[in-house]
Amino acid sequence: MGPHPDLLALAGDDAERAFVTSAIEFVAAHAPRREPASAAWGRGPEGLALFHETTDAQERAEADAARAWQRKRWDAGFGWITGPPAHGGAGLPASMDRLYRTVEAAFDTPDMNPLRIGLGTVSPAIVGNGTDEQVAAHAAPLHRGETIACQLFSEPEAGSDLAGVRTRGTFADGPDRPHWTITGQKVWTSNATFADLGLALVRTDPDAAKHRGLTMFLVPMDTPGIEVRPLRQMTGGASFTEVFLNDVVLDDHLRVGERGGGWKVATAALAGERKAVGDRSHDANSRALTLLRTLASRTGQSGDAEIRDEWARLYSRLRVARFQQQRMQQIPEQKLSGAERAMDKLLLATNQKLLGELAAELLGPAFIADPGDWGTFNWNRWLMGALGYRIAGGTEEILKTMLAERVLALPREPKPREPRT
Amino acid sequence: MTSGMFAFSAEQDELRATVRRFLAERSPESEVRRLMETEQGYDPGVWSLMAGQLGLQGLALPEKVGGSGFSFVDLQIVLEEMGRALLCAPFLSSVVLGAQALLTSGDDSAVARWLPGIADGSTVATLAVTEASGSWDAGDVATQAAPAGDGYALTGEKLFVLDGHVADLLLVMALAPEGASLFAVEATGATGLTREKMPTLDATRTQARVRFEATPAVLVGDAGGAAGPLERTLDLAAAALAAEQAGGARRVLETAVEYAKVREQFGRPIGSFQAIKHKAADMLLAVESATSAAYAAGWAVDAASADPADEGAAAEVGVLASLAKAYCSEAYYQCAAENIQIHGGIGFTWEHPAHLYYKRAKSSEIMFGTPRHHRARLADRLGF
Repeated sequence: MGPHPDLLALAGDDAERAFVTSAIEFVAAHAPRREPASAAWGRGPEGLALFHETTDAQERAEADAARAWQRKRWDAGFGWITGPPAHGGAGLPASMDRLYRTVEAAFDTPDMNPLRIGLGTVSPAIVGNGTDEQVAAHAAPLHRGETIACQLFSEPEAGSDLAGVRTRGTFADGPDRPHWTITGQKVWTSNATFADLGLALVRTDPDAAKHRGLTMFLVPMDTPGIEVRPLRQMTGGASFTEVFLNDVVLDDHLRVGERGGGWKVATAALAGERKAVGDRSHDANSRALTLLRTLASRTGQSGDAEIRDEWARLYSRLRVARFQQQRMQQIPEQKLSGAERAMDKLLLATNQKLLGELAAELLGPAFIADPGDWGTFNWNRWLMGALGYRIAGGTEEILKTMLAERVLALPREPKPREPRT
Repeated sequence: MTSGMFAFSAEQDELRATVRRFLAERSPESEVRRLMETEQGYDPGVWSLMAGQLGLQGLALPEKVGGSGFSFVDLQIVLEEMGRALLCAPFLSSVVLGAQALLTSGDDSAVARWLPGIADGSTVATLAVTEASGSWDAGDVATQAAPAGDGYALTGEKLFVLDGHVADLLLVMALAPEGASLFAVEATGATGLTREKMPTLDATRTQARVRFEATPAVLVGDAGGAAGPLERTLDLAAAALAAEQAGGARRVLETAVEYAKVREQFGRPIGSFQAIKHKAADMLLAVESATSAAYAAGWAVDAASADPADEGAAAEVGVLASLAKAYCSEAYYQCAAENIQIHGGIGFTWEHPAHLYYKRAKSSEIMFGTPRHHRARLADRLGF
């Protein structure tokens, strides 16, 4: 075996071996193996804010770096691994995509978070439901690293019950230009300040049943009538935005899927979203655990039996979360219901919360008032961030219901008579 | 037999299916209930079939002593299935504790003398360490080994000895003049040996009180050198029991889910209520992550066996064995208790099997050290 035997071992057959070999060759040519973020006390960034809280300028710089790396992926043939060959994709099965992501995660490549929604959610929705022209015009550029997309789904009145969206779309059949006028408010949108394209779920038929009155649209973010406002979260920073749509006029060719077929498109998009729990979150938790061990020793509590027990419990939980992710990756995709990824997220989010709680226990007063020492007071940002992760991307309750219904096949809750929205 | 970590080969899938079929036929609930009322606690006929037909006792023992040389992960697959079926048999005691105590002792003549019998099922062995305190620490052993003639004579009392009242071969931790040492006592014809079965919470696995009064015994391994090998034996036993626990936990999740689909209250299946769904989802998380923890420990054992010189790999076994034992114990207990809760009243009856799993779960949780004990060990091993 050549270098990186751990990664080559991921391949199950000759085709996978050839693929992984070329993936390693490509990534290794551009980046070294990733070292875990330093857990050395008192040096470097504290890294305790779970939600990315950056200035606009930082955010844009990160987006540029992500786009540049995506262009390299594209040139090397890894930009759209499962994509249709007619549009420049490699036409490979999802298992190869998963292999590629595992390989890349082992290297110190740019953080692809700014592109995550575009590649993982918006593109599959277009490919699965859009026209050939839409794929060429809107999905392919995402993979070429030319554009960035955001998702305009959640609303103040439509959180877990996403099908309750109220943003209205009205149709006007002009003589040569059938178009829609969209008005409403979206919330918890990442990347909206620099995204080129949005994917918006809109109520186009208020008289139809809740799930049938929705239509999905592509929204060029420079269309007149769109206003993006940063949304400040409880940690004090702003990682998300609110997007206001005021009489935004969209050509009918920006509609994705059927009129009234928006829910189907949304479901496809969300399935894509749940696929990717990043290795970075696991790494951040491992680093936090190491920091807590140092903190216990600096605060003279490493001999405390309860602290030792809780730390060992967390050590176990973190390693098990990683084992669980690795074991699921070994199970062929066709044997999974697609909901299993939710387990990763539930384990990670609980671990984040428990880490924050142990920090509070260790720090005591320095958790609630800042003595100015490195790696102390800012743990409260970690714990608050953990609360956000229990909600973001599907609340724990929604995910558990999903696991119960899709993995364990428990019966659905009887639907109440649906109110018209 | 394995490629990447957590990837089961076709042979391993087949092994699992074979053992599951065998246990469905030979260890159905009715048999479990029959055997737990017997003095012996297992069916020697089924034990012989396990050895003769399937070769389970020797599966993961070395080929040179009559075993098949399969991996530890293979053994875990078998144990996971046994945990599902609540098999009543001295498998953990003989094939894991007994065999590993001999193997880790480094005593070639003892291995050659007794392991072939364990491998072919003709000998049932067990390991007697714990006394009144229940401690598995060699330093806490008070049973005395006095030099006598060519060998030793043991005096003292062991409690909580797994299958101790039926074992043909007792491997006993005792205090020799040189320090804690391992001794072998063949039960048949042994003088000064009295054994009695203890009443147990989990009637599907027997424990015994074993008394020695100047009982002749053969030293196994180095006099005074038993503490290190014992630790290694216990790591393997912890990793083995973790797999059994994962199997039991998966089975109770299945029964809870099956019941929640058919039991109707308020005019609908109780599984359609979110309170039940979320309990079941929590159980699923516990079962899946416990399975991952158990096999991670198993793979670590195999990795360490593949390269005995690799100290990092050996240390990883110690870490993951304790981790898996603590994690799987809590997962199984949670699932077994929630299974009763989801079943409601019927789950609290003697006739329903839920209590059998609950008792196995609670008993296994405490066996070889509680989760808290293993976490303390983990913290020690990680230098916390």
